[in-house]
Formats: sequence, C-alpha cells, structure tokens
Amino acid sequence: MPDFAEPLMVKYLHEKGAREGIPVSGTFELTQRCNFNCEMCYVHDCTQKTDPLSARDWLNLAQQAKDAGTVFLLLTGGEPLLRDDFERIYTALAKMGFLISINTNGSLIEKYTKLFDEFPPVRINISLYGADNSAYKKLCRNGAFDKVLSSVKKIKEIGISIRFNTIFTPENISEYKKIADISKELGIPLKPTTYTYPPVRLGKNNENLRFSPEEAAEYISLVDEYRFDKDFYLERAKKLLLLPKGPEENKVRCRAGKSSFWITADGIMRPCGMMPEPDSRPLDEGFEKAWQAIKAETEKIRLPEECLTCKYSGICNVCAAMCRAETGDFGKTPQYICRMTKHLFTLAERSICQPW
Amino acid sequence: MVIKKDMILRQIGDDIILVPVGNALKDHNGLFMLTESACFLWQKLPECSSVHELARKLYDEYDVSEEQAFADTKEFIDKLAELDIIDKL
Repeated sequence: MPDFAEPLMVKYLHEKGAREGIPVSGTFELTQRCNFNCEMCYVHDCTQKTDPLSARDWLNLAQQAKDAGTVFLLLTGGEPLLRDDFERIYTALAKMGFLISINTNGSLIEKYTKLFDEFPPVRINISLYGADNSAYKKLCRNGAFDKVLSSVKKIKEIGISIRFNTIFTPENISEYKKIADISKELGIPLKPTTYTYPPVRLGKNNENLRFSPEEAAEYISLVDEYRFDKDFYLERAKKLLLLPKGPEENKVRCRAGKSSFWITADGIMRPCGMMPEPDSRPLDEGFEKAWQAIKAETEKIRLPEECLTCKYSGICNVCAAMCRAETGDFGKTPQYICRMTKHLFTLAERSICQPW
Repeated sequence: MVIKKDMILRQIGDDIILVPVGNALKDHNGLFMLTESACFLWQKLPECSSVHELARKLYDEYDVSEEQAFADTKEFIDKLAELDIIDKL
C-alpha cells in the first residue's frame, strides 16, 4: 500500500549510506577566500585572490554527486558568499534537488535575501564571533557585527532556519554571556566550541592562539552552565560521570568517508575538511572513482588502540581528524583531547558537589 | 491533477524520495519517502484528472483488486492534499 514515511530522514539516509557506500551528504568548500581574517581559522588563505574551481566545475561535480546519491549539501568556505558567481552556483544546486545548508560569517547575506527567500536553504549556520563591532574587529579584523545581526534578523523574518556556531578563543571568550544572550533573545540555537583544530591544512601552528586543554574544558563548561538551566546542566553532568561505554572499534566513528565527503576549494576530495589526507581528485578521475578511493582509504584508518581501553572513551569526542591534526598520525593519541576530556570529567564532579 | 509544489523525485539506492525545491521547502522542510507504488502514482498524477483514473492506472500496473487500487490511491491523494501538495479533489 502506498504510504508516506516520516518527513525527516537524515539519520536513516546516513545509516543507509554508510551501509551501502552511498555519499548521501557532502560539503563543497567553494572558496578559501574570506572577508574576515580570524587567526584561528583552519582554512582561510589570505594569499588567494581567485578561486581554483569555476562555477562550471562545481556544477559538474554536483551533477556527478547527485547521480551517486548525494541529497544533503553543505556550502562552506572561506566565506562562500564572497564568490561573484555564488548566486549562479546556489540556484543551480537548489534546482537540482539538493537540500542545502550554508556556513557563512553572515556579513554578506543581505545581498542574497531575495535569493534565499525564493530558494530557501535548509539551514544557514552563522559563525558568531562576538557581540559588538569592536569584538569582531579584534578577532576577525572586520567590525561587521551590526551588519551580521541585521542580516540575521532579516533572514529569520523570511522563515529560514538559522544556527549560530561560535568558536571561543582567548580573544573572544569574554563575550560568551552576551553571545548566549543574543542566541536566547533571537530564539536561534547556539553551537559553541572551545576546541580549535591545529590548522594543519595551512601548515600553521596555533598553540599560542588557542586555549590549553584544561581552559578549553573550563570555558565550555562555563558557557553551557550559563546557557542551560541548572537541572539540564546537572543532569548532563551526572550522565557524564556514569562514564558510558565507548566505541568497540577503533575505526572512523563519524560519517566521514562512509556516507559523507568533502571537496576542498582546490577540488580535492577528502572524508572531512579537517583532514589533510586521504585525498582523491574527482575532477580528474570522476566523482564516483574518487568517492570509491576515499571510502577505501577511510576504511583503513585506525584510531589509537589506547582509546579503546580508556575509561573516558564514552565521554570523549576524539575523532580521526583530531588525532591526525594533533599528532600527525591517525593512530597516535592526541594528548590535548585526553587532557580536555579528563578535565571535563573533573568539572562535572565539581558541579555535582558545589552548592548551587 | 496539478502538483502545486516543486518536488524532485530522487532514487537513493533502492529508496525513492521526494525532495522539496524552492518555496516548497518553506512548507516541507524535509523529505518524503515513497514506496514503489506511491512513486508510480506520483509519476502518473499529472496525466490524470480524478482518483478513479489514477486508481485505474495502478490497477493496470499492479496485481491488486480494483477496490484495493482505489482505496490505496485515495489514501495517497488525500495525504498529498492534506500536505497541500495538490488541491483537494
């Protein structure tokens, strides 16, 4: 009998993709260029003045990805809206039947309000770096906060789903309450992080720009304590203290290279944008062949054996990309992540014991 | 029957899904999964002006009784109308 299933099937399709080797989701990193210049960025390349791939290249890749089964597409950068041909690329992708999400710093959205009204993305993820122009100037070298906030309000008005992504660093952590307040006031969910990947793709080191592992744990706890109500926060801490069982295999744990791919601004396919390897070249060898190569190489990746027996493995967010970025090797234990996780556990213990 | 919303039929492995495009995404921020027979009905919708006509096509294509074909087709059409994807007949 004909019937409809549940309308949202993201999880189902990803599980199916991983089981059958179908790349149901992908990321197109449309550019490495950006109108911001955040020091902690893993991808922004100030030296690039043009984009290596043309609109035609991206649409060619998109058609092949669609044929291979891709449904969900994330457009990211750099700042993807910086491309002169963004509207052309976006419109064509939307008409092809992709469900599109966009990562943007939000400073250039206003120009595209009409486009997003006509072809709404599934969600726009806006990186929110601070709560006023001077905070933006300090971190992003661009005092664009007012512009970002005004654009956010406009696209919210036309009914587009938005999420704020905030990377907290020593430069903007003082803004955390104000950022959480903006999120609450506008009713827009906030996804904060205090962990920044070493920018291995740029061959740079960010040790002096990021928190120590203990600080990263302290601050994310502080942010969560502020934005969540006490009961929820404590409930989460209690769950963490139970030390749930971790994964039983040391293979890649996420969707990267199993049901998901990433294509960099220079046309290289990877399992995930945070990994500098493995890679394949879909423009040269064709999307399907490149995807098969990425899948095969991802299957070979093994995370550290030590993680399997670690008592914190069930509360640890370690992933293959972190291991590779932190240590240069997928199989080496990233001490930064170990220290951060252990400290999160200690903080959870403290939060349960402290008088509220 | 006129499909009011812009939807694209996609095959992902052996699954058939309908993806809303453009403004349809504002009303349907998700995907619809179709069975093989629902997919058949969807593809025949524009050629038919009544549930009976569409049910007849289902009956001709699949090994079902006329009554079952009509009941299934009506259920499918009612669901589409409820979701405002087609006008209620």
